[in-house]
Amino acid sequence: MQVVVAPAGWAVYVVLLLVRAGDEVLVETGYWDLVAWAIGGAVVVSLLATLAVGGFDGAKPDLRDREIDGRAQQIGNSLLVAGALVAMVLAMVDVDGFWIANTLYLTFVSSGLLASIAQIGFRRGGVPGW
Amino acid sequence: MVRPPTRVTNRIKDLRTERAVTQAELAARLGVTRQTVIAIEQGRYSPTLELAFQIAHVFGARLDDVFGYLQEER
Repeated sequence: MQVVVAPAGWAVYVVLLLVRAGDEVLVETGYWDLVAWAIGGAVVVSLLATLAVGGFDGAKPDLRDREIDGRAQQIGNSLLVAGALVAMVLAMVDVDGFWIANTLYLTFVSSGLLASIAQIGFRRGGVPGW
Repeated sequence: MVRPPTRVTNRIKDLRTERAVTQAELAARLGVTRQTVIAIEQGRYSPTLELAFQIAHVFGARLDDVFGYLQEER
């Protein structure tokens, strides 16, 4: 579900931010409330969509599910580290907080997306040995 | 050629057919999902040693009667 909802939330956020900015300078546009709504909205939509497709049917994940989740999360985390490093460099060179916050938001979205894609790949193509 | 994710081979499908055990029944006896049984049968998931022993036990077979290992070609 995350593979669709998180990027969709981010895309909606970008559109609303650009609309709000209009002809003004982008970095001077208020963004924190839009980020909060986009993240909160994505969480709520994810939960509702999971309920709608019967994701909480009580089926316990087995050892293969846990292994796939762990491997996928590990791949997603690599992007999270890279994004955090980029944000740190931006902070070091005194870039506006707007760009740092947006770099971090994009990092959360893309690492979640990468983890979801990896999970789908492992489920369809198989789990490689260590 | 694309290398399969595991070099562990198995005869689970043959053994199931011989003993008329469905994937769902085997999954229930092992405490895993049917998707996991399918992935093991198709060589897309290498089971843990413990799960491999459990599978062999279900069929009343020895571990190397159920599983094999493709050696690296030289």
